[in-house]
Formats: sequence, C-alpha cells, structure tokens
Amino acid sequence: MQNRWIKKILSLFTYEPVRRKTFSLSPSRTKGQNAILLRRTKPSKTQNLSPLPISRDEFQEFLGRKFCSRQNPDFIIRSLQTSWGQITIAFYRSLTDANKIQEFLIGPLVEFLPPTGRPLCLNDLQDHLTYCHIVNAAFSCEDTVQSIIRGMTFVHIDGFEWGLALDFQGDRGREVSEPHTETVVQGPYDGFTEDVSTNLYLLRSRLATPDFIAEDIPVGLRASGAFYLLYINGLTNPKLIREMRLRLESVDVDMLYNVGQLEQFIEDRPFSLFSQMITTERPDRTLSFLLQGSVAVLLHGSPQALVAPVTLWSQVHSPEDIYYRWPISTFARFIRIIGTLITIFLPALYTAMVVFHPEMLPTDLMLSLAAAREHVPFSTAFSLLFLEVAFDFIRESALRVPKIIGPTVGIVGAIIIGQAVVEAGIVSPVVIIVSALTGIAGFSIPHYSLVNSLRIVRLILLFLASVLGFYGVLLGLVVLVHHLSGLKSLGVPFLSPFSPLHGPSGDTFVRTAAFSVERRPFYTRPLDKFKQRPLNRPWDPRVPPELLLITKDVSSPAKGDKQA
Amino acid sequence: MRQSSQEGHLGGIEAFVLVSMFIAVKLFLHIPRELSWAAGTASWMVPLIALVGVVPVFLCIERLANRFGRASLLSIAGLLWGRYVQWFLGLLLTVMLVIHTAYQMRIFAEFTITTLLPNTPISVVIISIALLGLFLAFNGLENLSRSAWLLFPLAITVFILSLFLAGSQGHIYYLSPWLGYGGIAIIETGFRFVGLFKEIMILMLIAPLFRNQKTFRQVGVASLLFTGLIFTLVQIVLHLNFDFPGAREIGFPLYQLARLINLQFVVQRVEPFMVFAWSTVTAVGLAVGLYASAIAATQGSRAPDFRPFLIPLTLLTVVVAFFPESSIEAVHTYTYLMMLLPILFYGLPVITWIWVMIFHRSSEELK
Repeated sequence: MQNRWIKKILSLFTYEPVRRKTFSLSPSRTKGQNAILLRRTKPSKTQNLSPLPISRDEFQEFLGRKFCSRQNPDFIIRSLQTSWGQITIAFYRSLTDANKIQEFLIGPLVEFLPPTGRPLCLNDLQDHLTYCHIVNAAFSCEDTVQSIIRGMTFVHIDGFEWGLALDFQGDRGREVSEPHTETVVQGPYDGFTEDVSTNLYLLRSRLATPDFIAEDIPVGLRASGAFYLLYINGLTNPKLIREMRLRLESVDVDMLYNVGQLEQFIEDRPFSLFSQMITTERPDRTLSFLLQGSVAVLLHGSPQALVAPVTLWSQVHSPEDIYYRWPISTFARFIRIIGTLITIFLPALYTAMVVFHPEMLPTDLMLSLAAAREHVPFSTAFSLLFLEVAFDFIRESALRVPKIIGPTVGIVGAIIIGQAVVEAGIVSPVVIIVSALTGIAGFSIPHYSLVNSLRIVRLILLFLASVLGFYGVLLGLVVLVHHLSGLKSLGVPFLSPFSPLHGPSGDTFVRTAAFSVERRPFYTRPLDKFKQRPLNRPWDPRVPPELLLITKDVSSPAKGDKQA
Repeated sequence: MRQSSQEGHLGGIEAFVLVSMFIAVKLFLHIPRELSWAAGTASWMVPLIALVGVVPVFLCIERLANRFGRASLLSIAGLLWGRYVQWFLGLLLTVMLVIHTAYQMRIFAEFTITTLLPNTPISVVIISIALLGLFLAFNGLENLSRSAWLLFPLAITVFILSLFLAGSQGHIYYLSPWLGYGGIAIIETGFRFVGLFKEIMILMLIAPLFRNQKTFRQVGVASLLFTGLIFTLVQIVLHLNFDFPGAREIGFPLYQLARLINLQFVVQRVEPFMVFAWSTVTAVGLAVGLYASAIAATQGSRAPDFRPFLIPLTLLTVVVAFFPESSIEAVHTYTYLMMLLPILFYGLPVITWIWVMIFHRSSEELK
C-alpha cells in the first residue's frame, strides 16, 4: 500500500511515454493507434463449436442439462410426433407467445409434407413456415443456447444435425407513452420505451432513408440484448462511427442496465463532474442529433438513447427550442443561461458580498441585510449550506415517495424552509430568497445530469467564497472554465464553437430563423455539410432576384414569370 | 508521469489573448505608477514609444521562426552553438522566468491582502495562486489558451467598463503639460521602459505550436498593439483622475481608479468586481509564466515533456516569492527586473538573428 503511494508521487516527477491515444476529430491531430481489445467473450474464428446432437433423446438431454429444466419450470421442452418425424420444440414460456407457437408453428409442422425422392433439407422447412419472418438456422449447441436465451423458439427434428430458431416473442413491454423527463408543450408526445424494437420503429417511422443505420454490437456476457449504434451513412463522419464502435466493443461486462451506465464506460473523461454525452428519451431529439452528424446508442431495456458528440450548449437547449419561432427560442435560451449562472454563482456571490465586501452594497440595503442577520447565530455560508441540504432532502424525498403523497412532502418542506427556520432564527429571510432563487434557477436547465453537476460546483464555490471572498469565487471560476475547456465529447471540444473559436452556427445561444440555418454544426465534421438548400423562400419578395439567379432555383417566381 | 494527452496547435485568437494576458499582468501591479513617476503627465506616451522599440526585436523573432520552420529559439541555439550552449541558455531563461513569475506572484499577493483580504495570511494567497497556476499550466498551452480566451470577455468587459466609468469623471487639464518632462526625456524614458513588452519572448518558446507563420506573425503584432493600447488607455485615465503629484504616489493605481466609481445602482462600489479582471489576467499570466519556465527547461535539456519540470519549478517560484522582506522591496526589485530582463529576453533573439545572418547557411544554400 505504502509502496503504491510512493510510486504515485514519484511518477509526478518522471516521464513515461505511452501510446498516443487521444481521439480527436480534428484533421490536424496525429492519428492515434487503435486499442487492442481484450474481451472475455471475444468471438474467435478458431473457436470450437459443438455440433448439434442428431438424436432427439441426446438433444433433449443436452437442453435439460444446459437450462436446468427441473429447477426452471419456465423452460419448456415439448416433443411432437408427426407423420414425417419426431420434433422437439424448446422455448422459454415467459418470453414467447403460446398462441403464436400453436397457430404458426405447430399447425404448419403437423400439416407439412416432406419432399419425396430426396431427404428433408433445411430450406424445405424454412419455406413452409411462412407465418414467421425471422427463421434462423442453427448448427451448433452454442447457437442453439444463444437463440433460446434471446427469446426465440427452437425446433429440432430427430435425425438431423440442424435446427431452426423462430421468433414468436410475446409481450414487448409497455406501450409508447409521453417522456417523463423531457416534457414539451409544443412537439411530439411519444417517448422511447424499454423495448429496442419499438424504439427503432419510432425512429425509422420518422426518418425515411435507407442510409439510416442501426448497427448491432454484442453487449455483456449475460445480457440478452445488443447495443444499437445509430448513424446516417454519407452524413456522419466515419471517424466518429469507428471510434464509437471501438468504444462499444471494448465494453465487456456482465450486463448493462441502462445507457446512463454505458456512458460511464465510454465517455472521454469519466472522472469529470460533467456528463459529456446526452441521454434523451425523445425520438425527435435523437433524430435531430443524428442529422447534425452525431451518433446515438440504443440499448435493450433502456428507454433512452445516448448521444455523442455533444457540446455544453446543447445540454442547455430544450427539445422544443426547434419547434418555436426564433425570438421565443432565443429568449428562452437566454433565460436558461441566466438561470445557469444564477444557480452556480448566486450563493457564492452573496456570501462574498455580505461577509467580505459589504461596502459594495448600497447603504440602505447593507443596513437592512445586517438587521435581518442580527439575530441569526450562524454564518451566512452555514445558513446557505443548511438550506441547500434541506432543499436536497425535499427533492430526494419527493422523488422517492409515492406520487400521491409527493405534494405533501413539498408542502411540509415549504413550511419548514419558508417559515419555521426564519421564526426559529436559524437563517435570515434574505438567505431563504437566495436559496430559493438558486434552486428554481437550477431547474430551468433542461438536462437533469447538468443540474446535478452544477449542484456540486455551487457547493464548492460557496466554500471558496466563505473562505476567500471574491478572490475565492474567482479561483473557482478559473478552475471551472479551465476544466470545461479541456473536456471533450467523443473527440469534440465540449465548449465548441466558442473554444476553440469557430464561426457561429446560428443555433448556439441565439437561435436564428429556421430557414437561415443552412449548415450542420461544424464540430461533428459531417460529410454532408448542408442540411437544407440555400434558398427556401424563393417566393418571398425580400429575396434579391440576383440570389435566385445564382442559386438557379427552378421554383423561383422570376423564372416562372419568364416562362409564362 | 504517464503522458496520455498531447499538445495541440494554438488557435490564432486564443494565442493572441494568452500572450496579451501574459504581457498585461504588470498593468494590474504598480507599473502605471512607475510610468507616471518616470514620465510625468506624458506617461501615456511611454508604452507607445516602447512599442516602437520592441517591433524590431519582434521582427528578429519572426524572421528566425520563419527561417527555421518555427523551431523554438533554444532549438535554434542548439543547432547553431551546440547542446551545451542550448542547455545553458535554457537554464538561464528558466531561472529568469522563475524569478519574474515569483515577483509578480508576491506583488499580487501583497495587493490582494492589502485591498481585499486584510485578515488572510499572505502565504494563503501565494500558495493558492501558485496551485491554480500549476493546474492551468499542467494541461498544456492549448487548454490554457482556450481558458484564457473564454475568460477574456469577462475580464475585458469589467476592465473597459471600469476605465470608462472612471475616465468619464476625470479632468482633461490634468494631462497637461502635454509632453511631461519634455520631448527628449519622454523618448528616452520610452526606450528605457521597452521591457513593458518583454513577455513577447514567450513566442520564441512556443513557436512550434503555431500552425503557420502567418498566424505566428499576426499573434505577435496584435498582442503588442493591443497591450500597447491598453497600457496607454490606463495611463490616460489615471492622469485624468489624479493630478501628477497624486498619480505617482498611488499604491495600486488600477484599484484606486475602480474605487473612484460610485454607482448607487444595485451595488454602489465596483472595485471587488475589478478583482475579476485583475485576478483572471494575473492567474492566466502566472500560469503562462510557470509554463514558460518549464518549457524553457524542457527545450534546454531536450527533454520529451515539460510536465515533470512543472511541480519543482512551481515550488521554486513559491520559495522565491517569499524572498523579499516587504512589499516595498518586492516592488523595487520587480521594477529593476523589468529593466534588466529585456537584456536577455530581447538580446538572445537579436544575437541569434545576427549570427544566422552572418554565419549560418542552410543546406540548400550550401548546395
């Protein structure tokens, strides 16, 4: 233990070259070497696959042993005697639909007439089972096991070394419903569910292009689903796709329950306070990011998509910004940015001002604040910390308790915080106002993960302000800015396009009119840079006729008039 | 130390802000007072005259960088005079930069405890700003330049607003006599204070980080012009508000200027806000100083990475910052340093350039 710490300290003063592996989308960076994957479950071409038992008894014994059928009443092995052979059907009752199996599998199998003059082959059965659209052949025990644990129904015929895996899966979970964390007034009301097929349906039903790719990547040793890496061919930068694929393939764990968990495995700086990706449960928002050149990941069992690369500013954007007209969206964004600044700095600035620099305040205000604080025995920083903790208690309890008594918790909290603590002389009324304003301003930020990160930043700044006043706040601010400017989201600087500076995209702070934002954001370096044609309002009399000529717009009124 | 991150290129605007902040640190110290003392009411001309003196030096740096594909000056020195000279020059530059940064750190800490935190021990301020500088420098100049660029709008807004509010209540006749102690005296003082811009030497150490020569040249010229303008503005506003005898006795000129502002709207005093501009520029400037000393040591010893040098050099800087016995001593020594350091910082590129012009022939020229 002691040795390890000594080595760590000594390592600060020594140089040890390592492989350059920082990923960046910038073409001026040197190319990093590809990581070598050391997977527990790495598929190998030389892997020995056990052939499927030919005889029915051996096959059933193999299944019974593998799936512990005695202890697992959920696992069904059914034998079927037909006129043309003995059939074994194996499936999990909980994952399949019994009616479908009866109607679309057993019925056709019983009626099946094998070909005369030649032995039965795989294609004969595949062609006959027309009610099921996913019919996979399996030739090994490993494939058989994999298909059954994924919810397929397995069919084996006595005397043959192959089997068929058919998809008769039952209930696919809950119906599509409204998103819980990203509610909007104007915009679609459907959100992702836990079933990845439904989520893909929600996306594909909107994006009608064969270039929309949902690439499956195996996940976990004991998980049933797969990652789906989403991108748009011919638009998304291939470097991004390669990097994300590499990171996903590198994940080798028992199971991932949610994309939030996955994020910790694949983000650039996992020890940062800030999340460098976005999780969204809205299909429209996911598509909007995909069309900006980002990539997304879906995971079976997770009602959210994980999107990267993103910037800090996109975490301050609301999903409905794009649905409103530009002045409203822009105003809302400015309010959110002010809210963000207030939630980070207000308690720290108040503490610094009242404790260290009261001369800043107008005399009347200073005297009034002093009078309010006169009977409070605790320091300003402690009072703010007390309220912050109380506020967090209320927030946490409101999340945990049943919804019916949720409002009660809020009312009790409000009474305790708003009235009782002031009357008890624990905090001053001004501190309550500061704390409440800080809390409410925090909730104006749409991205919940960012709100949580800023809570921690706020506490650190409060501590610095209580020790060093404005100087301390400034130290914290510089550290915060430096940390943020060093973050990257899948190789993209987190504060793009301000740092490094690049031309405005028209959709960062100020959202300009929708028809004027022609280009996709530069930071994803998309292959197709334009998302709309330069002139979408040729009928507008304010459009100069020269522009119509330059763009050779066929629908221009000038050309139409000439033809007429 | 496992170095997994890599140094990237510097963007033009980010590098401009970085170099400007490095030069402008002294503006927030006692230097405006020194200028007033040396040049009287015409002290605002001194930065402009000094600028004229610095331009040829910068041209030498620029020509050298151009000729050697933006190699650092110490690499060029190694190429011309051998590795032992390179090592010696690296050591010399490192020592000078450590001393320079340490004195800036000390004066900043003295000012902070005098104006803002009277009950705080000076060691707390010195150690905190040293740790911040170390943190900023440790992630490399690319990250540092981006941070500087992000902090720049806040700093420049507070700064310009303070100057504007203070300047608007000044008296124009405080600037007379217009030529101070006389034309010749002003020119002589201007050239004596050519060290106002000595920090431009950082360009010779970070030249390899620029993408192209044009950006390198633009950054150098823009930084010099911008800081020259800021120095001049500060001197003008200082003399607008304080008559000559008063201006040369002020302890903390910019802070005193900010104290003159009385808003009576939401807040009545704004000098603590001035801390934002002041401390931001100082924090970034000191971090650049630490980085520069580490990179000089790295280039002098031909080491592959600057980071192992950074912690020992920061420790040394903190130690040197405690050398002066008093604030007065620190201020006096720093003023002398400002006069002496240009000999090395300007002399080295000029001598190298002359040497290259006379003795050095590239392989193509030899063919």
